[in-house]
Amino acid sequence: MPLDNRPSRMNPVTKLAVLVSLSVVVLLLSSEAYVLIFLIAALIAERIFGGGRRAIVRGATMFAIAIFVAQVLFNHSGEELARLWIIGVTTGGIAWGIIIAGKFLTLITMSKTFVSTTRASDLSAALTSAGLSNRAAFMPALAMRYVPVFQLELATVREAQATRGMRLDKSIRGIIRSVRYTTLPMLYVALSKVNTLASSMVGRGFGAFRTRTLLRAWRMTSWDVAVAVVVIALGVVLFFLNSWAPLGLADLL
Amino acid sequence: MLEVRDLRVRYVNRSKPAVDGLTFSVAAGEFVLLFGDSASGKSTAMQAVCGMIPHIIPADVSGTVKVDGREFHDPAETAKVVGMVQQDPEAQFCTETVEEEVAFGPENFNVPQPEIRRRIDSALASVGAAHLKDRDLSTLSGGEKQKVAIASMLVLNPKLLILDEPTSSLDPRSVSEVVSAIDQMRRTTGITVIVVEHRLSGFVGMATRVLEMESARLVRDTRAGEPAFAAVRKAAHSVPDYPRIERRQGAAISAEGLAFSIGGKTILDGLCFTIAEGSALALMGENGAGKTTLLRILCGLATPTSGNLTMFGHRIDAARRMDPWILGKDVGLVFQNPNHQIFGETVQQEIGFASENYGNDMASAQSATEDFVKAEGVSRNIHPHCLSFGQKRRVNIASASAHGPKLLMLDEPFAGQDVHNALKIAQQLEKIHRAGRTIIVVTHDLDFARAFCTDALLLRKGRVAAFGNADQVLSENKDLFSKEVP
Repeated sequence: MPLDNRPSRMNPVTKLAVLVSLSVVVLLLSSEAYVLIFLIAALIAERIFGGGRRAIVRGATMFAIAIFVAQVLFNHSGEELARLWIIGVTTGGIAWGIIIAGKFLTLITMSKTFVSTTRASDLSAALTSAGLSNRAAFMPALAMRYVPVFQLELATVREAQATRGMRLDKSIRGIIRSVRYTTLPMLYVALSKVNTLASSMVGRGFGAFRTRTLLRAWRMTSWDVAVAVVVIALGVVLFFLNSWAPLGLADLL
Repeated sequence: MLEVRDLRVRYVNRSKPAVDGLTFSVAAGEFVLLFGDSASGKSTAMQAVCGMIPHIIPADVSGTVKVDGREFHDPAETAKVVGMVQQDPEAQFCTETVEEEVAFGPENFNVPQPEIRRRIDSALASVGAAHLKDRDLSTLSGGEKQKVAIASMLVLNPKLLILDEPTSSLDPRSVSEVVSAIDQMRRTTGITVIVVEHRLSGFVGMATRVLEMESARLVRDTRAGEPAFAAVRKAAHSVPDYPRIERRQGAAISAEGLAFSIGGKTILDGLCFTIAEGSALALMGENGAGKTTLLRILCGLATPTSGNLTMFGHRIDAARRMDPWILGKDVGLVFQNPNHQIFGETVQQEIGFASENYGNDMASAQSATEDFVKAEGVSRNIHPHCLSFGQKRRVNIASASAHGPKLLMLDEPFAGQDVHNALKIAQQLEKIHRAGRTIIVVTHDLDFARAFCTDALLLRKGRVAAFGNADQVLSENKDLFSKEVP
């Protein structure tokens, strides 16, 4: 459930534009200092506006740490700083660890803030107001609405397996077995839900016309434009700084 | 109003038709109750009437369906005159709030905004749900969700409204709410209504006509006032002949101050009870009372936040999380939705799934498979998903009990089941009980609880409201189970 704060009241299309622009900038960054600046800014924004399920950020953090460790252990570019038994820890390994793990965590955090501050119905209404066709505008909204539903269904299937003695071990064999016994029930549950939803939507005239009246139409306010311009401009400035005055690991230390 | 002539529907890759030569007509303002066993073709016929078949669900269709004298070939056009509310209200919601959901239909037909607002108020008021307008759909009870689903169809001003098993998974209080809402809607709008139901008791009082389908054909058509209608009305209130079981002695499960909360919300609050070994317990209460959470704790899927539970030599408390794998040897659980728990590719594999996982001797699983195959007249190699809904439920029960757990728990096994299937499930449970097992059934079916169960545990807002002999508990709490239209 999105929170009631300033970003929650912003036009979802503005937020989407900001998210997409900043994601592109983050993906293009090559300097660890700028990646960290983006990450810290994203974490602060998530802390202030995010709310919702912290488990998503926790899970992503664990994965980011794994990426960082893998880079430190197996990327041997740059100068060697230390030696752990037979593995050399290098400046390049640490730098790439920060860059890749930082980019991953920044993208996840920004996306989570977007989802936490945007109602699925508002997103579809805003996309329709922006001129997208009904079907295209409803797709992301339905995806946002159904992700938690399918997560819940998956958890129930896993529980049904556990109560009938199926060990959910993390070996390759265990994973293959788990996938085998999870796919079919999930497929049935998903198809049944999709069938009901499609019948309900078409049964209420969805897709009958290219346009539809919106109970709550969204328009771009001057606040939306100002925020989008400032945030995207800051992102672009940081991107150019990253290209012209890159800050490396040594600068950070 | 509705004219159906020689309607035949055959699903793709099926040899037998699901609806075979259906002919009937319904006059404006009638309230028709369409009943029949599972797979008799009721829902299929109604899906064909509102155009979902063949436009969304592929099937070969012949015959004619006319609404208000017109044949429709486009589901969007049909939507203007026929609305259909499906079984699971939640699965048909595509927005987040009540207002948005009810507005969805008129928005699609480009109805002007002020008119949409007027229609939302009127549709919600006609089902007694005006107070829900600003609520989030996720915060509604089962009965409230069903009312919103009905309002979201009424808002299009259809001439015919079809309700497919509108009360199948609701607790008695919600059933009562929905039945009253439908009655109120019928009186205020005068709309033609067809209700598809397995169990007639809730709606037979307001029906002006009853249709019965059997094996894809219409076998009964009777109107209020006719002698046959009185017979249907009497039969609607009769109790199926459920088997009775004997009570035994000895504690199997004992709970002391059992509590569970999540995200600061208390779900179970200080439960104390002792369930005797070999008893059959009806676990009852409104939707959201904590019944499913209690089942989850009993099979190790959730850990109590305080208090403790002793069962079959295991002690479970906040400090001791039990592995569901270990508890699963002694406790079998049948989930609400049959499709969540079908893992095998044949009936034989499905029934032997738990025994194989636990490395048990397969003899008891083979014997359970033999019993199932013989009772249902199906091959042991048939895919469980090819079975009927009732058979799927019974294969679930066989597969959750074949590895010999001492306790078998079932979460609403009668939801969506007709009387014959409910009776078959009760007979299957009686056989399992005879083998010395303790049984816990989460159910809203009062007739079953009273006839079959030895004990009843009634939960209310996470607390024990009543516990003891089933007959006594149900008699003393009659007001909580009223299904009649107030």
